[in-house]
Amino acid sequence: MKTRQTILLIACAILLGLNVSMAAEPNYPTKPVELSVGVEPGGGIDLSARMIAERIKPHLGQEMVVVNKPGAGGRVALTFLSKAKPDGYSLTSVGDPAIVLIPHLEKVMYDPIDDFTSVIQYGSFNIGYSVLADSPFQSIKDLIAFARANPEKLTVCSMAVDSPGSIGFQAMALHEGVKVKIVPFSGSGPAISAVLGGHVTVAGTSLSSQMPHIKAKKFRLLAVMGDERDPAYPETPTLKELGYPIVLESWYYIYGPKNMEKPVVKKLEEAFRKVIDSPEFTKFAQERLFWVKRPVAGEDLRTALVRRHKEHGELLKKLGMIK
Amino acid sequence: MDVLNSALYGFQISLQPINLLYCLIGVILGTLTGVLPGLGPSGTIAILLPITFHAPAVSSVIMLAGIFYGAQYGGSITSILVSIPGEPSSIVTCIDGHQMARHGRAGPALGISAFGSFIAGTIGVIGLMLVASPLATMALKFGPPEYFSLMILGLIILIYLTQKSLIKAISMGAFGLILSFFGMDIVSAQPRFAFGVDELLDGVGIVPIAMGLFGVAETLVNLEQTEEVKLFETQIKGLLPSRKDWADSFWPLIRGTVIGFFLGILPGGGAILASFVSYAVEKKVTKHPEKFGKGAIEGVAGPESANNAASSTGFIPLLTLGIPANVVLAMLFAGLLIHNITPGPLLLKEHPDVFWGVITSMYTGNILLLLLNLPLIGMWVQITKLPYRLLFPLIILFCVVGVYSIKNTVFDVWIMLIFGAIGYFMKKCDYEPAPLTLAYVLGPMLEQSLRQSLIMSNGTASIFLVRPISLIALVVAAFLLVTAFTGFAKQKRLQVVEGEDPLGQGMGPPGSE
Repeated sequence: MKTRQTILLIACAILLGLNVSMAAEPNYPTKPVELSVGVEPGGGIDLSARMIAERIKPHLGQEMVVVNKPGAGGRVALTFLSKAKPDGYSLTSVGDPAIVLIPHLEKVMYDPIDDFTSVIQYGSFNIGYSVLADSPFQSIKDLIAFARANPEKLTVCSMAVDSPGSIGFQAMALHEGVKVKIVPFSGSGPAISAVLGGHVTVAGTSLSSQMPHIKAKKFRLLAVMGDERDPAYPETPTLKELGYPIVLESWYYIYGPKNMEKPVVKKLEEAFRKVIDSPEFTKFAQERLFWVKRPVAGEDLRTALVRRHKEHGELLKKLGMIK
Repeated sequence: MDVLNSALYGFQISLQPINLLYCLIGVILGTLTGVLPGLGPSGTIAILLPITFHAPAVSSVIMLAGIFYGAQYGGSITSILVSIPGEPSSIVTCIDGHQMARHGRAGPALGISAFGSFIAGTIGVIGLMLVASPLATMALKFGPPEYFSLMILGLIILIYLTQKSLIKAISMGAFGLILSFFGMDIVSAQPRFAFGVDELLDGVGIVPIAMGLFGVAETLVNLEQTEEVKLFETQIKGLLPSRKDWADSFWPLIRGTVIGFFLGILPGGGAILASFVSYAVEKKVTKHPEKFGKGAIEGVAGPESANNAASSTGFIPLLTLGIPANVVLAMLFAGLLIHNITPGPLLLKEHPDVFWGVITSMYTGNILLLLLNLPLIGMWVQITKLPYRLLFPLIILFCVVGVYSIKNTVFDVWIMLIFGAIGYFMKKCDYEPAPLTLAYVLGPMLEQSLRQSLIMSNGTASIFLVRPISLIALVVAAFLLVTAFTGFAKQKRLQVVEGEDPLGQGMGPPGSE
């Protein structure tokens, strides 16, 4: 008898709980918030999301649970998110290309801007171009000169052809009217080993993947693709400084489904900002080279994404990758 | 001697009580991870990584490494008992390990897999200490053309994975290759065979395929038996390997270790490939290939040592070059970065405590695993005594939960069930799943390295012949292919002469007369 009563009580409690969460919520959040990640456990964005989720509880008042929904460079997670309820309990940690780059090249199941509510940016990382330290190339100029003298001989490794590292170098080659060869790899690890082994000349991957080898003086970093120089490598010029109109940054940010209520977004933004500004997270982000000085949030983030989405589209059009 | 001093220094670190404790936690979690299908070591490490922010660097990496090699131990347990590969690297163990269990020899199978893993793991670590940096340099010599030729060599191995028809094995290999082409094209980033389904953009996934073909299909076939027929011989014949088992397993153990040691340093599926290669080698050198597939202990001892040796040497590229060979090692890489330690060429100089502490902890970890696993064998064996009407819903339940837990999607559960049905019909028609899974594992690397090489050479195929390592691999592959087919033809002639076997039926393994 007693057990039956207990079960009944628990059921009532659950029902009540549900009711509370279904009504408009003045005291959001009242249950754990799910933060999905579009990569397998361990990818760069997965770790950063877990770092944040681990630390956000005191600021949010509820647990944040990281759930991996890997697939198609984050597109699977975003498709799920675009169909989720905008109640503030479903969020996604997004890697940039699925928003500003891929939708130009392929049909996606969501509108990259309008189907979502932008919450806050929490990181930005640079793509760098490195060569072996004992190679004769001292600068991007040397690489271009070599490519001009030897058409289709200069090899650059990156992720797939639609990755920022690949697009940046193609844009540069197009600007100079030279022909280079992009060798695609499935991850930065194999790409870096191919450069270390002398099979491919230039590494065009995330700066953090090249860092150990730059530190060990095996790699020479020639340029980065961000808007500003990377704080970790202040001597290395950006492509923009070298005279190429190419800025390709990769951002990390938090997205929710569209039509989230303003106060909920505000509450989330504040909680996230407290974690992002904490010395522990800053240190982690600095070490992994995705640190941002002033994370943009809310409407500002949306505006920035609209602009970057457009810029990427124009660049791809120039490259002839889209008509 | 320098290495000896360094090793002693390493043991001073890894034998500190706190580090021993972390190591123990790591290997226990690893074993559990391996036993539970689906949730792999990478998932476990990802979940635990944030917790290790608060622990000392060496301790947390020791624990994470323990999860990694502990999972290789645990993965074989379910392969042997219920034919569910807990980890992709223990797929091969399903073939003979599960047959051993059905003949009442689950104990020796589990025992030899534990001892084999221990011996191989330990030898692997010794090798790691002695030749880490020359091996890492050697691994760098493998560019795309070398990988391509190596993958071709790997594909040839599928000939040795069949008990029955060579034609059927090759057709299964082709099926596996086709399946591996599902998903995003690596060069143009265009979707292939995705049919507008986002989940298919990353391909079908090895875990749902393997669990469907082995676990679910096996269960379906078993369900045809009536209750009276005993699926498992309930009389357990010994809990530990007998003297004869040891004699049979000794050389497979050694060979498996060597194979795993060298293949482990290659990025990608080092441990999986090593287990398949070891199985093929054992079947090639044995005097009684007909026993393979029916519970040959060599078919467990070899692959189990190979995958463990490979998981030790997988650390070489990470610790010396800063290049993680697989997802799990990428997590360890991240774990080190969080503690402001950059794995790579400078690790040994800047953080010798981490380098030697982690390496020596693998000795202690392997001993802990053996101590942990041997007493458990008695308990595991009891599972085979469960009535099948209770066991089979449990198996299916484990498969469903396990597969769901990887990506948190029902889609993968469907994939597994579909492959369960396919696997059932394959079993009915004498098609074997092992060649399919091998081809599926090799497919993406084969394609990627082929296309990368051709981009590098402007479309000239001679790039595979002018590079020495690549040429050697291709020559060995051609040699194996020729001997296999002549052996197979000879056997077929014999069969025709003896009139035992009508054409097209039961063409035995190549090279077995």
